[in-house]
Amino acid sequence: MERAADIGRFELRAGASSSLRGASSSGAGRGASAFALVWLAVVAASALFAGWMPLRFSIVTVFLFAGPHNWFELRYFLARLPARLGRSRNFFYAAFAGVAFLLATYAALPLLAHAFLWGGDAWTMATGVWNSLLVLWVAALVWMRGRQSSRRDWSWSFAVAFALVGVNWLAPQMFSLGLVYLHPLVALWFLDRQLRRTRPHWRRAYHLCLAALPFAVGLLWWQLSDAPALVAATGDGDALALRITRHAGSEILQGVSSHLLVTTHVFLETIHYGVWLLALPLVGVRSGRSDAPWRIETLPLARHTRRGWPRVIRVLLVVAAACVVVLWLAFLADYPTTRDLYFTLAMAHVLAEAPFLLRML
Amino acid sequence: MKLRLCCLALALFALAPATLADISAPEPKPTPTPQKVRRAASLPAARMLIESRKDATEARLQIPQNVLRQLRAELEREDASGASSSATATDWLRPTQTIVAGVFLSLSLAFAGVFVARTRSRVARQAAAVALFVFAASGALAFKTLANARPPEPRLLDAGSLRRATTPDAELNGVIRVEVVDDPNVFKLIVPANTAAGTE
Repeated sequence: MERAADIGRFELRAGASSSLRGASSSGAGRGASAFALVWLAVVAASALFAGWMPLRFSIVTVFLFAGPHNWFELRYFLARLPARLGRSRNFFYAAFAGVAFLLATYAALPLLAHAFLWGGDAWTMATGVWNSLLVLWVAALVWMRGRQSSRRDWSWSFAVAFALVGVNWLAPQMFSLGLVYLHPLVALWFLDRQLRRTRPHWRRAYHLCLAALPFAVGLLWWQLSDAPALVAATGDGDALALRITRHAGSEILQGVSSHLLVTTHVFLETIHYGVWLLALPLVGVRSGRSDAPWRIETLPLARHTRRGWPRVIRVLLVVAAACVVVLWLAFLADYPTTRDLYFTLAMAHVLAEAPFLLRML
Repeated sequence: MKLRLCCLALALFALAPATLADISAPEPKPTPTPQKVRRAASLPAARMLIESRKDATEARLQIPQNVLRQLRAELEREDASGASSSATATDWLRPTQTIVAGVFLSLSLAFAGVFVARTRSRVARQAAAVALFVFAASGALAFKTLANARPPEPRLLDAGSLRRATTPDAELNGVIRVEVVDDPNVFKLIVPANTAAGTE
């Protein structure tokens, strides 16, 4: 039997905890609303600037955000690496070997083309081979990831991969262009998986906000489908504008306005930068686990006393930060050349996204 | 009666070779040589600059090396394919590409079939069956709609301020030097600013 005074106290405590739960859920609701509002504001601003001044916006965003977003990706991937590989050893070996091999071959293609005077046919073949290797590598990683659980059978990945390789060989340059446009969207998947871990109550708002993307792209296409081709407005003449328009696929999709292509590409890239620079770090910081980007104590590779490498990780992140500063200086010194070099070497982070995304599935 | 009709038919059959034996065979219709129509999409595009320089002593046309390489590869391919190539042949799909694409698409179907046979998951089987059906339907639809369709024509390239170089009534002509340069995708016509006496 309980004393009457204790019963009253118990009810008071129960009332307090239920009111606290109510407060936390309303706080979560406010957080989700704030997240959605910020997301929609970023999407709207990106679409507006990308459509209004695509070349200038491309130059500014790449200069400001390309380097830092690579640093944040490195930090994020280090947080996902376990201190002890265990059953995932073969998966990570295949992942790192694939990244190194594909990056080396990707960087070697222009050098080989220059040395052996490749024409259009040779470029098409080389692009087809490289795309095939990329797709088959990802399929192998998917299969290996599936084998880590007895409940999963992901051997269907080879059927899908062979179909994609077949489609690739029908139009290798178009397939490569498709990868250029799809890569920025991979960040959205990362954000979804991160929200699932740390902010599951925000996912619904996030999924609703994702609908703004096709709406924005549709609006841009509707407004700019008949826009005239871009005219170089940069001080360096036509070379830089030519690089930017070619990167967006103006030579492959000759029937489409280059203004529209550059706008679409810059818009998607800005969303990509926004996810890595704003959304993912904020979701990690505010989860209460002190995952601030500058704190490495939470990284498994830095935290583990026997198998961790705290000093190596710290030096790696400092060197990476120094590379970001060097990149900014190089952009200021010679923007077009730096841009070419950056987008060649940045293929490494594009490739690294595949295994780390699979780790989160 | 029947016997007479048969005899009549036999007689007609017997006479037919005699009446047609010396008639010359019809002249074979000349097969029209397919016109090689260069579609705009197959021609490389590049930027053109015309500039006037005071330090230039002669007119010079600078051709980018990469465009020259593309044109050279195009010519070699045309020479290799010869006159038998059809005017409607897609000049953007090589035999190697078609073969490799066909091999991988076949492998995809084979692996999908093995997966459907091996999997115990009902959902996976249904998903694979739907995917196979969609794949087959898209392929059939693609054959029906695109089999002999011409590739879409590209939008016209914008000539920009080049229109100011001349007018429909007058043409410009002169002798130029031609050189190949590394600058990619930019043709440059350098015209000396000083005109010689007596020339306009």
